[in-house]
Amino acid sequence: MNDGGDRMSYELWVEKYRPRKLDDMVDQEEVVEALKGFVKSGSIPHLLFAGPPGTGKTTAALALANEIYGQEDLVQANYLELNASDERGIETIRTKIKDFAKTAPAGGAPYKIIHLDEADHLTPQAQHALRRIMEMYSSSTRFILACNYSSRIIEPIQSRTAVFRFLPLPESAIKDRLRYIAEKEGVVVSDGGLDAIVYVSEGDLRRAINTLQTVSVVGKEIDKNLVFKMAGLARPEKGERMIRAAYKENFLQARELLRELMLEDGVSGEDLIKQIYREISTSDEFSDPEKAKLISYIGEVDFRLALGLHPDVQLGFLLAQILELGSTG
Amino acid sequence: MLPWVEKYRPRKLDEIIGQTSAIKEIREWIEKVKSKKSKKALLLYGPPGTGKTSAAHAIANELEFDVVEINASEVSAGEKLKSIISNLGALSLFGKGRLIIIDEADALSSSEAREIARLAEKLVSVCPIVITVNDMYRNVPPEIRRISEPVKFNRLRWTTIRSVLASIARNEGVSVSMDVLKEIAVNASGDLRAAINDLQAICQGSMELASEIGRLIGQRDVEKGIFDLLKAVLISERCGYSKAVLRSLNQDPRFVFRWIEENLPLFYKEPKALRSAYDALSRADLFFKRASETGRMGLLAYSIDMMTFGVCTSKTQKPTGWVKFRFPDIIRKRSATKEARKEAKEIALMLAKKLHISSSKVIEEIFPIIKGDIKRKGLILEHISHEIGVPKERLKEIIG
Repeated sequence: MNDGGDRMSYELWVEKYRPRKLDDMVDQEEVVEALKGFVKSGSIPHLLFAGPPGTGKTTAALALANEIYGQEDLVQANYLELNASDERGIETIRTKIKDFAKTAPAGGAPYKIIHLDEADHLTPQAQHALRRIMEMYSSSTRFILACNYSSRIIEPIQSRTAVFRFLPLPESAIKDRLRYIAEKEGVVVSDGGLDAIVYVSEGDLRRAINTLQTVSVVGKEIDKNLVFKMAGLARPEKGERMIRAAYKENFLQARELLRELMLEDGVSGEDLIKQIYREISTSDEFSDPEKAKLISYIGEVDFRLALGLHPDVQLGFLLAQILELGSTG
Repeated sequence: MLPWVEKYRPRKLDEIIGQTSAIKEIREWIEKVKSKKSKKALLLYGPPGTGKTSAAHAIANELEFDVVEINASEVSAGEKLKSIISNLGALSLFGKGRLIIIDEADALSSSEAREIARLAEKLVSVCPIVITVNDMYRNVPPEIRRISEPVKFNRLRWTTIRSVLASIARNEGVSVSMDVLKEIAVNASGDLRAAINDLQAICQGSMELASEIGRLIGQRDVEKGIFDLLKAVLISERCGYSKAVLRSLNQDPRFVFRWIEENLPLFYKEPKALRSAYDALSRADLFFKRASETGRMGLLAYSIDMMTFGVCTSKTQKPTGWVKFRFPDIIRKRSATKEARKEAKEIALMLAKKLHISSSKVIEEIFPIIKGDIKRKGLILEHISHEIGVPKERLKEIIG
């Protein structure tokens, strides 16, 4: 057996295969061209990167920093990355930014760069505070804010930044990248396996690569079954069983499956609701009017989960809706 | 009134329980200080509530030194240390020695910590320093580790915690059953301070906690109350009455909510009724969140109405037959995994920095990789352990 794969499998692929230069990025040509223009001119404005997860926002910010500063130690000294969802509020962010910005850029660099990821996690008030911070340090510091939806960023910040939209990656681009990595790592992935990885990662390339590695740790030959078994996301079959149990008027069994999925398999409420949405949209068991009715509830439940409500209760409610449809249909 | 954790805080080293080897090492260090041979600060590390801060103060007592305490929560710990250094000459005129305690040093920002380490390095030959941190490997810069002698404090065993709780309860003249004490002690996961706080909360009536372990404290009373409520909500047709029962119950509504949710499908067999009742419950959940988010506690009334009145009025027929009420399983499961989740989050935060993603993404996407790797060759585990400076065994425990 060829042991070549194991030799290098101690790293996390998501970092190992992260493009270091703008030109190496997957897709996003327009963004890349514009950013290269900044590098050439030597000056950048504040930037706002908006787009779905795993489309290259963080990679673009890092690559931009690499190209502007040229050497690793200058990047280390002049580039700060913060994640809004992990910092305990605007005060921490302010302190860290202040600590970082109060010294002059190192190695003759024209400015420092602060990359604030998941900026849409900040409340509007915190964003206003952020805006003031951005202004306070604008002589020495450029900000790159990343978010999923630019609409969740307050107007005053949007108007002070150049906004770049990262488009969802085409399935073919994701598969090409996965194939490339698989080949380098000595892993064989079947077409069904690739489809399954794309399915569970929903167009998120980072997640797709992580899924590929999760599965590869277990086996060097990857097919659909292995992906679903390992991907952390419930096998669609179990979610399907839960929906069917509710529809066939066995609510207790459906709730038991729900709890199993959440507490034992560790599936998050968000993942589960997305899966339910997919299952119901494509199911033959529900009539179109039934689907329409359910989707309206799914949308409501998804929103409530985003508010931080109890996923088991809200999904229980959804199962009860399905139960009622099943009994009248 | 003094919180019990303060009232029963050990004043002498001998009073600190469950840390025999740590105390021994501390005594050796004290001897070195007394004979002026100590060149290093003392670094006490270990989980919260294991006696580190108490030990630090007890050391000062044994040395008969004054304490200068620097807490990481202060605005500029570095400034304070500087002013101490500059005053040191003058102060020593009074003859009494001083012990500097830098508490919770891992809460310092990394630049502050380096500053402090630099100052402490100068200071340690003239003035003994005791530093406490939770985790040796996290947020403790090498500069601090270099100047200090580490002493490990262990998580306390639940039996040890229970015996402390028992003696406090005796002293306070409150009677708490051994079952309850055990429950508190186990639940504290080795944190004596948390356990003592819980005990005080229970004895002095914190609703939330009392209800969580209510099934043990005077089990019959709590359950009788809950059962009456469940009857009023799930069986009775006089729904206005169910609100009143909840109000008189003197229980955390969230706890009651779980009981209702658990038992609802056992009683409402008719799909339309169950759907409508779940709708009410999901709204109760929503209204509760709104109340806590906005701070307008008046909104709680709607939540409570939905979970009682709303569920009660959803029934289309009076439930028949006799069904046994079930204890909500989810409560027990959640509290059992609380400590583990916290530790996982800390590891995830360290990895997040290296991987340019948020800690929640690390838990979601990276932990499964490591988990699989642990069961195989452990190469990734090895690599990560090296990268973030956390021992492999510890990572296995937390992630595996």
